[in-house]
Order: sequence, then structure tokens, then C-alpha cells
Amino acid sequence: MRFADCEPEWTGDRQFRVLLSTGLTVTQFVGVIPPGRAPSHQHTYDEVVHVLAGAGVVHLPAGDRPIAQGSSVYLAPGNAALPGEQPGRCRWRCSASSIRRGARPPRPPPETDGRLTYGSLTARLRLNADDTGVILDVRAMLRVWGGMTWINLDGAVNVRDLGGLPLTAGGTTASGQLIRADNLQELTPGDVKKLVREIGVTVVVDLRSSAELRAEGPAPLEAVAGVRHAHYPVLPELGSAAEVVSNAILARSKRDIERYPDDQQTGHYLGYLDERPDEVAAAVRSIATAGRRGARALRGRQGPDRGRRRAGARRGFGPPRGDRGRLCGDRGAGARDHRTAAPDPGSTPRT
Amino acid sequence: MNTRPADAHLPRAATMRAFLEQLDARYGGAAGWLTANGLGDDLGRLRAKLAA
Repeated sequence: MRFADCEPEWTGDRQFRVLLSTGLTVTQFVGVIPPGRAPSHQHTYDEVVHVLAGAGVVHLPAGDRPIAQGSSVYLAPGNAALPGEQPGRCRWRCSASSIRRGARPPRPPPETDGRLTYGSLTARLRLNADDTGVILDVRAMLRVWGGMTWINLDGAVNVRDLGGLPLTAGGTTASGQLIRADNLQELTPGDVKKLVREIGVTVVVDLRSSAELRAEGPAPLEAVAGVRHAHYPVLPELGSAAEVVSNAILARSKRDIERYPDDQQTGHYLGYLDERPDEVAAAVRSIATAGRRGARALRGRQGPDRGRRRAGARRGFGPPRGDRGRLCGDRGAGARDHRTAAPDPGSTPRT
Repeated sequence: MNTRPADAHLPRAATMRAFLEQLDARYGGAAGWLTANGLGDDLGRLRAKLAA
């Protein structure tokens, strides 16, 4: 990957070149920020900024700190505002607590020799400073919501690469292998291109009911050559007669409670294994045997228990059902959810 | 299901933990369940694919 090969993107008069992003748990870009000032805003991810060239001041409640070429600053999610600039200077605003008293300890600072280590990921860069304006080498913008990478699509929400999760035996789950997603009916042509060409999805594991599938009709990815559609409904098929469905759902709800009285939702998930073992096993097999080109998207319903869905998928179980949710589009809530739902590193995968 | 309150759709860590505990207790974990359901031969391939 060469800096010169990366297409520049513009936000106002700021230029960015994304160096690393797809399939990774980090986004790394180089930004050229001319003199000026941008409105303060916040990020939901960790960010480490390394100044390649230029000089400026970091404004902290405890006082101003000069920064210059070689300086590194860690910004924790949520409480760090991005720098605004004044003519001739690079100004930053961030909370001291984001560095000193964050919920998580600050990441190791980037090394000045052009190498950044974050967990098991090491990124190396060789960049030539441009002497126009202030050049910031943002060595890593870390999107580490629960260790996963969010995939931004216009027509689907809660789409995440399940790579990057810690494994009990060390290491992490592999990136670019398994993606979870909510309903994929509304994918745009751009979304399809991103999933198929950039990420390399080869199989879509569809866990919806057959009635649901019929009602919603063909989805955009199904029209793509080279993408296999594997349909394994993880709930008992109820047909479409309203009264029958209603009674069946009530009966199922009762079984869920009996299966695990302390938590009906847990009982519901266990029901996939008890009542639909062939479908769950086939879904897992389709993941195991998927082509090597890239990842596969698990296609489920929007709804609750995304944490479980993620871990479940990684363990080889399909995503649970839920209603088309209003909650999933809320990325902030999603981020919190995944943190709380993420298994402890010491107790995670045993698969 | 559409009549369930929004809170019912929120993911809960306790639910997940309980599921994983029950998966261990009832089936010997994910590997145990998969083996019992005919995927024993696929476990190695799954691990190779999904672990970095």
C-alpha cells in the first residue's frame, strides 16, 4: 500500500487519504488540515493522532500542551473533541480525563519510527511530509466497539465484521470471514459492491422464516452471481394463517420459559438448538464450507440480543430472531451494547 | 412480537452469559453441540477459518 495510491477525500478544505480500513479493526488515514477552525465534535471510537509535520497546541483543562512533529495524542471515545484550528496553528481540544482517567487505559502511544502497535495489530507507515499547511499523520483511528469493525452501509444496519474478538487461547477471531447483519432487503448498489467486491462475501446465510422470505421477495444480493443464498430458518415454520401463527407463538413462548425459567430470551435461544438443530447445523456448515474469497454475511432479523447473535454466530449458531427493530440503527447504543455483551476475554471462545 | 416493548429488544449481557453457560452445561459447549449434530469433522475447518 502506497500513500500516493490512496485517493484523497475531502471534508470541507481538509484532505484525507484512507490508508487502511477494509477488513481491519482500525481505520488509518493521513489528513492534511490547513489553517482554520472546525466545529468541535466527538468520536465514538478511540483515536490516536500522531503529528507528522507542523506544530500546534493541545488545550487541556489542566493547561495547554504544545504539540509538534513527533507528538502523539490518545483520545478516548465520547469525551474527546476533535481539534479545531486557528490560522497558523493546529489546535486541539480534549478532556484530560480522556487520557488520564478513561474507563480503559490509554493505548500504547504510537512509536515515532512510523510503527503503531495496537493489541496484536501493528501498522507501519512510510510517509513523506507535504509542506503545505499542517500535516497530521493520523496513524490510527481505532474503531474498537467491542473489538469489532462496523461496516457502514446505506441500506442495512448493525452490520459488523466479527473479527477481532479475543480468543481464550490467545489471538482473536479472524477479520473478513464472518459478518453479521440485519435485514439485507434494502441494500443499495453501492452496498452490494462493498460487500461483494471489497469485503468478498460469497455466502449469505438467511435465517428468516420461509413466510418472511416470501413476503419480502428477492433481495439485492440474491441477484449477484457468485453469491450463494443459503436459507436455514432457525425458528419452527409456522405458515401464514394468522390464528395458527398466533397460537404457535404463544406455545413457543411457553416452551421458552419452561426451557430456562430465569430468562425467557435465553430459553428462546436454546430453543434454536433444541427445536431446529438441523437448520442451525446446516447454517454452520455453510460457513465452514464457504469459499475462500472472503467473508459471508449472516442475514438475520433486526432485534434484540445482538451480543448473543454475534457470539452465537462466531460459535457457529445463527442469529436469533427478532422484530425489525428501531434500536439497531442507533450506533451509539449498539456500541454500548456490544461492550456489555462482549464475553470476557478469559471466557470467550471454546469452539 | 411487534407488540413487545422496545426494551424487550435490547440485548442483555446476562442473557448471553446464561445462554453460554447452558450451552456448556447441556451440550458440552459449542464444539460439543456441533459434534453431536454431525459437524465434528468441520470443527477444524471452522477454527482455521474463524480464528486469526
